Amino acid sequence: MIDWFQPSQSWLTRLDSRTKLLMFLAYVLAVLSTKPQMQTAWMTLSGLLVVMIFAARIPLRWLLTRFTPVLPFIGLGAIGLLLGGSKETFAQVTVKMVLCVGAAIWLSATTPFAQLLDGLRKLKVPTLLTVMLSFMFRYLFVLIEEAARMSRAYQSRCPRKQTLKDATNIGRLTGALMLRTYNRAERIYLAMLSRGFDGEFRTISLQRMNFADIALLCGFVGLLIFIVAAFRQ
Amino acid sequence: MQEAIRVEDLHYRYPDGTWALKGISLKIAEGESVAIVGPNGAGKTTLLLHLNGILSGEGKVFVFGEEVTKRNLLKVRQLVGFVFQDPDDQLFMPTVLEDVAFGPLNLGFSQDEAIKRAIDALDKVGMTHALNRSPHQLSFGERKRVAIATVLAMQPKVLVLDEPTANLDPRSRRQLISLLNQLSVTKVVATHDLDAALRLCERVVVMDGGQVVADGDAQSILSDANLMEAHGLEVPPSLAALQTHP
Repeated sequence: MIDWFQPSQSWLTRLDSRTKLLMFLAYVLAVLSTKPQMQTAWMTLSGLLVVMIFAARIPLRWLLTRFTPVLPFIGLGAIGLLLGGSKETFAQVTVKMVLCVGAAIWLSATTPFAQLLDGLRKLKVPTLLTVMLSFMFRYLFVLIEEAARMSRAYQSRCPRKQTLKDATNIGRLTGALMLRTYNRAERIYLAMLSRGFDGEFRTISLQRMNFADIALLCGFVGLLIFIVAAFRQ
Repeated sequence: MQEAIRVEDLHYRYPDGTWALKGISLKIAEGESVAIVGPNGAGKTTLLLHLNGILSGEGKVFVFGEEVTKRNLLKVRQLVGFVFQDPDDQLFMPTVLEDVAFGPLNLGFSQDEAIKRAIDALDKVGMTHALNRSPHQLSFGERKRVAIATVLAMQPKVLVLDEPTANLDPRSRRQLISLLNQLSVTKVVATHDLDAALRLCERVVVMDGGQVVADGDAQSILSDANLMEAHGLEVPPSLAALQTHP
């Protein structure tokens, strides 16, 4: 079974997360700065993304499942197109969306979440934000499990087809889940206090940016600037 | 023997008005292992939460001779490590190493020293292989051991454990009991698992209704069928078997 987060290991995994974060950011900026007529630039940027994904050795299936959330948006755009929207806008929005999401998938596949957070902290992203992300990552699964347990308990006492009338029950269930989450948050805070937490969130960081990081980052950004500039009409 | 913890006439009332503790007095010497037993709602957890200054009621709590006040909380929390019942409450960082290093970093240690302490602590509980894993990838028993490591990394002199064996399968429970027995620190264990209390502690304190109702040698307290019965407990099967077949 492939790991939910880390489908593969490659030389990219070992790089400093800041390098990959900045590469991602530069790539997104490059994609967003293209104009509707710049099809050649799109092709080149797509090619670059394919190379990046190939270098990260991301399995195709893993990649495709992560793309599925984009499909509804493309569908929505397609409906707009049928209702008389402009083809150019549709093409532009779709291409940009797919490329940006692709880059985000590349980032998440090459960088463990803990390192990503560390990178964000070192790039001076506000602590409140990184701490929130950190807790979200840790407790999302706990929350999902808790919700699943409650839902199983509910279904075993209500073993019939759910109708709209049952919506109130779902509402109560959600309320109960919120209360549980609130209580858990309280207990987590106590656990943090017990370990000397005083308001400042201290973490360890083992990542260093070395020559390879800087060289790759410079080369990558240079390439992006070249692509965007070369195909500007 | 030096005194590790002294509780003097401790009262605590929850915000909703119910009294959880009604005059608890207790002395625990350094190196002792004490089990706190009693029915649900007896006030066991509430008492434990006073030992490292998380709750503060009326009355006094001394840790190694020093009264717990707002000013010495960091020191008290370093001396008295608290292991919560649910490891999901205790492990809140994205990776095991970061989580175990959290305490030492808060105590002001450098990153290198914090990592060294974290790895030592994980080694003690046999979890060094999980350094870079995320807690949700671990089994419940493994999470429990890492939760203990997070506290050991702070090198406390007293280990306070709330229901350490709850929800563990028999093998993990056995491993946990032998792990705790290997640790030479003072231990205060609140538990419903009376057999574990017998294996872990030489002294048992029975609580009911926010008061201490009995305090003494584990063997004699736990084998007192009338006392156990009166406070919603029972003689652990291992002792009961001894009584019927002397």
